Amino acid sequence: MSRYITQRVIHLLPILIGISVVTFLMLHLIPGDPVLIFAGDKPLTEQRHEELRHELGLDRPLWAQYWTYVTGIAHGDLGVGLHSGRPVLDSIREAAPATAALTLSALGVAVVLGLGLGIAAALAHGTWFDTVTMTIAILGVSMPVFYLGLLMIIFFSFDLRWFPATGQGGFSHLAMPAAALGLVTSAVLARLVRSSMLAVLREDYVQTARAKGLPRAIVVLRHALKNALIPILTVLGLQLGALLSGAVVTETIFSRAGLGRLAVDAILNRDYSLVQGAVLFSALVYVIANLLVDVAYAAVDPRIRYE
Amino acid sequence: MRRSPALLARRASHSKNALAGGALLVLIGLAVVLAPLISPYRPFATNQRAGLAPVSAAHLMGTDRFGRDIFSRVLWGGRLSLLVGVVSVSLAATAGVALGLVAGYYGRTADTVIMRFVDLLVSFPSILLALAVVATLGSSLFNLMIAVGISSVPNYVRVTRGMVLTLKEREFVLAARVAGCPPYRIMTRHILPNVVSPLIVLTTLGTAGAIITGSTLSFLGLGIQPPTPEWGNMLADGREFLGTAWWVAFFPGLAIMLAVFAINLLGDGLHDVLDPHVRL
Repeated sequence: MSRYITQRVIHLLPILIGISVVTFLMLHLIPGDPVLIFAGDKPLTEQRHEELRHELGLDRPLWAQYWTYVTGIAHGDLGVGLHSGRPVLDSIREAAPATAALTLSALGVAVVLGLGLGIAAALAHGTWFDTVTMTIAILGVSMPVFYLGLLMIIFFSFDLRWFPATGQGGFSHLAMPAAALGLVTSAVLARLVRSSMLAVLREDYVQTARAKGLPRAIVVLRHALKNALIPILTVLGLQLGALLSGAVVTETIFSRAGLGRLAVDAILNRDYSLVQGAVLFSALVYVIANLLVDVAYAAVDPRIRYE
Repeated sequence: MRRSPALLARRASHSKNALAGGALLVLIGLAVVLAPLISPYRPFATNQRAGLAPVSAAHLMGTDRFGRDIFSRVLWGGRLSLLVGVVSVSLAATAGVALGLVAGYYGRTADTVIMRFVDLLVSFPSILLALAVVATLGSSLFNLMIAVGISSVPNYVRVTRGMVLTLKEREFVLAARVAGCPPYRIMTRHILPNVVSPLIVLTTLGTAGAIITGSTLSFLGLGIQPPTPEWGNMLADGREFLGTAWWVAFFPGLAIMLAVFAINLLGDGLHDVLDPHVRL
């Protein structure tokens, strides 16, 4: 197992380098003169222009700039926000917890609902429950997160006045955003869990278990579910990316401060350093999360450890 | 491996999902394409006296803050929303299939380089990748299509490459090679037709995702800019009036949902039609 983990981590290194290259290049691919981008909209004299070019290191070869960028990251220096004036790392550090809370609670909702309904639908295959659940699931998959969020605000905040529409704080501020994000993700999961379970339930070893007289619950939970988990875990890893993406939108709708809002506002304010930092951070989190999924994968299916 | 079109058509006529989804999609598509003919008002026409008017006979979906008819704007906006979805998927599929064919057929260095690139694309969450593209290149219509499409390229590459690897050693490919067929022709005439089935389902479902991503970007203010109507930015417009004029946000969002729902139904149906294990 530890050999497998080491292997996966080594596999990660070129990807991490690639991510750093992409985020580094972001600033340099922007059309226009980079010096002017950094200077904002203030007019520059020739001399000041040259000075700034030198200060920012833009007169050095690209690979040298990249090296400074990477070593900076290693020391936790992601630069200073062009618009905010604050160190990028600080802005990210402030915004991250809110996003983490949202993403994790949405994940919880998605897993509980998705797994529960998916397994139930698979077991009730062919009945009205199956059809109704799957139709709701397709609707759920088709609903953009921001639309569901808006509908919830209209209904729960303005009509029923149960939950506040914006801001953060405690549970009542987290409930709707987490529900909106979680529900859409659970629809995707439910569909997949159902088809995965159906495929497994058709297998011979399930027939054998039933023929042996094992109670249905044990057959489903101990034998079938474990094998159905493998494709489910893969999708869960991919859904983490969707959750991160969804968090961006959800935070905007519910006016929650978080990484998503930070990134979007940064783009609208042309604060490219902040965008760069936010994208880098999110990509790193996503990559690490997928690593954890890979490890979980190997824990569930012993065959994978020996590949 | 190729089944006759007649057989596929017959199977499709038995699939409730494909029929329902297809019918709904045709309906939406016609409405949107015929917008210049059927839209009761011009999409940019303002009417300050009728600002934020509720649903009525004169305005089937109410008006927005400038008195513009929402029904007309939903029809016109659909053209852009659907266009972005379809074009970005086409771009992504073309690039992805081409890369997948090359990676699978030539193997070794080409394969490693392409798959590393794909791994890199996959390591960014899709909206963030789209955000990064828009932030860097700007939010023109074309850049928007690239931004929306780029995160789905890996899917096409992987599926195509998988099929190529399976088919590469089959007799008909070896026969073509022995006969002196150049690699380009082998890839397009012999291998590609067999990859079409999974690709059809992938592109159909991909269009649904692309429409959502495109309208999400416009909703965030990073895509199609107002006053040009588009379902996403119309939703953003309606955000301020959720308590007072809910129709401004409700109908564009409903349009997105119905279009995506139709495509998902169709995609599910096509998946069943093309899967030989499913009895229809």
